[in-house]
Amino acid sequence: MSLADDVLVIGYGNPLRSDDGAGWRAAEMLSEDPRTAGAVVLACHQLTPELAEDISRARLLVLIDASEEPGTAGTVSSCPLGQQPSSGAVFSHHVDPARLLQLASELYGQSPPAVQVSIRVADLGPGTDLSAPVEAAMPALIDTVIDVINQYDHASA
Amino acid sequence: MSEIIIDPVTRIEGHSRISIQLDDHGEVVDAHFHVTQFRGFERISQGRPFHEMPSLMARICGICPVSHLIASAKACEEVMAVSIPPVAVRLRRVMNLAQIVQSHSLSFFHLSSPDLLLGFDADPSGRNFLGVAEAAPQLALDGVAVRKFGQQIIERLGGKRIHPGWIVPGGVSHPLRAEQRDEILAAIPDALERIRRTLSWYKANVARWADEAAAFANFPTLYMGLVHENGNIGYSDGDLRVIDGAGKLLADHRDPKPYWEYLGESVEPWSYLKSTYWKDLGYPGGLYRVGPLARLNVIDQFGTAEADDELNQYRERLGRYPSSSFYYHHARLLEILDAITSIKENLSHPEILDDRVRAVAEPNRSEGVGVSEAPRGTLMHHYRVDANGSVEWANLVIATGHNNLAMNKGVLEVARKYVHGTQIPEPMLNRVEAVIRCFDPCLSCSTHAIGEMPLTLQLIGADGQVLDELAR
Repeated sequence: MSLADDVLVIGYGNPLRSDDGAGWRAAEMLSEDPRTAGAVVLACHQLTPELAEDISRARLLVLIDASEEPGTAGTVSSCPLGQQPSSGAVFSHHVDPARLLQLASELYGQSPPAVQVSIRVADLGPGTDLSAPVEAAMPALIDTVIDVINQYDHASA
Repeated sequence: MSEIIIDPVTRIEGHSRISIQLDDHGEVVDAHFHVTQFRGFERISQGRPFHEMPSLMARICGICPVSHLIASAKACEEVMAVSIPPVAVRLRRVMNLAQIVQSHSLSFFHLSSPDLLLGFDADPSGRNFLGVAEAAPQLALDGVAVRKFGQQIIERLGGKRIHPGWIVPGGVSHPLRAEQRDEILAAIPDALERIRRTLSWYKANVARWADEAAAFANFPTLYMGLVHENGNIGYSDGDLRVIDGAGKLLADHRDPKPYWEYLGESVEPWSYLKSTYWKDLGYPGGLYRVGPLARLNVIDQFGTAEADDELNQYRERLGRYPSSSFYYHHARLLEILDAITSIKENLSHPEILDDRVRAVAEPNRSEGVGVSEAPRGTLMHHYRVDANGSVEWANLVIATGHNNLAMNKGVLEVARKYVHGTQIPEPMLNRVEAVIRCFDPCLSCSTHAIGEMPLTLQLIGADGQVLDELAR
């Protein structure tokens, strides 16, 4: 059994808006990384209610997104979800992470522990390339996701 | 003179606002549905090789890219002067039907069911899909599953759910594999069970919405849609049929491609969305509707047994040509039922795995028009190319433009019913939005932030002073 079995990794963002595509790019890199063998890795433009069923089946959810929080571009951070307040947004066909977890619980009876891994952006303009600081930080982003999975396995062992 | 502004309108596909003008006595004199975003795809496409157009045009919309793929590919095939292989026609139908399923599911379950289930006057903070999940989990589960069914077909055929490839000028890029067909067919019984359950729920509850049904853009208009020779619904192909509110035929078995012969296009300074009108009746009198309600009015029958049984019940209850836009909701559910059944029928065709799926040709004409039915109604792409096949000019006539005059009239109708004086009643705010939502307008699904934005409605006096304000 792989460490990443039953782990769901979702990288999301718009790959046509420069650094907003960092989550998408990370998902592509992770899907070819042997350290995540056994995990389900998805890349999508946004979180939608249809993901709730997949999430309910996972033992750990890792979300990867670009962050507009102030700070140095390329800085990678991780934060357990559930400790973050929901935005309170009324969603239609996309949904914030906390509400997606809530939806998984409401509809499918369970939701897994979840961690949001974020990378601070420098450029969200039209374009398919990441900015230099975000491009340079992609290996650190990937390593952070792997660490999150490994730490969860050690903690739950 | 005073003015009420609703900005933005929530739970629709795109960015817009609504303004309602009042006279000095506080009575509504006019209302406008403003589309405040600008796209410019007609200009962007100039200079591009014509064969790039389907993939470029699909970027117009994240919800109905398949519609643009199909209309664009058909316009390109006019330029190429080719007929596509029969199996490619069927395969395109399958993807288009899958998009009908997923888009209608989004409209009904995710965007409109909160109003239907929880009430139009329920607290807006809980009147959303999560509220549906809490109050009626089975309805929400069915919504998620039916939409996923459609999305997965698109993904299986086109490689991804949003902006798929596969549909190309001349047909489709690669044939269907047996395992793809079998995976889709295996999922059909579950999707059918879920939409049947939803239809039962809708029919059991429809009496609760009688007031809204009576008031939501309920007036006779013309109706337009594509119909096959035998009177069956034509989602991806067929000829044009146009009727008036009493069912009188204004056009039948008509080639839809020379749209400029029967449609006029007008612009107003307050919106980026064109208004089209039936030319014989002029502007703005020639208003007509497209999309599910209109399609069900123009067709003789769907062509699948179970959906036709439901259609007969629908007509027995509402009459042969229902005019309230509220019934777009019911019509969407019937089209989902028909689409799922039609997907099964198309995939069961003995030649569906045929590997001759694409015609190849250079440009042989300087102009082409492609017409198809998008979830929201008839979609037209029109291109002119130079001798090398570079696009010189493009014009797009989209479903929401066809419906624009009717939507504006619908907003005015609801505002007149609910607005009297200088105070903004909450029921008016809810219902003005809900009447727009019936049409499921697609203003540009590339901008997906809608639903997160606060909604503000202001009553503004002639001197610019805010007389009243509501905010979410």
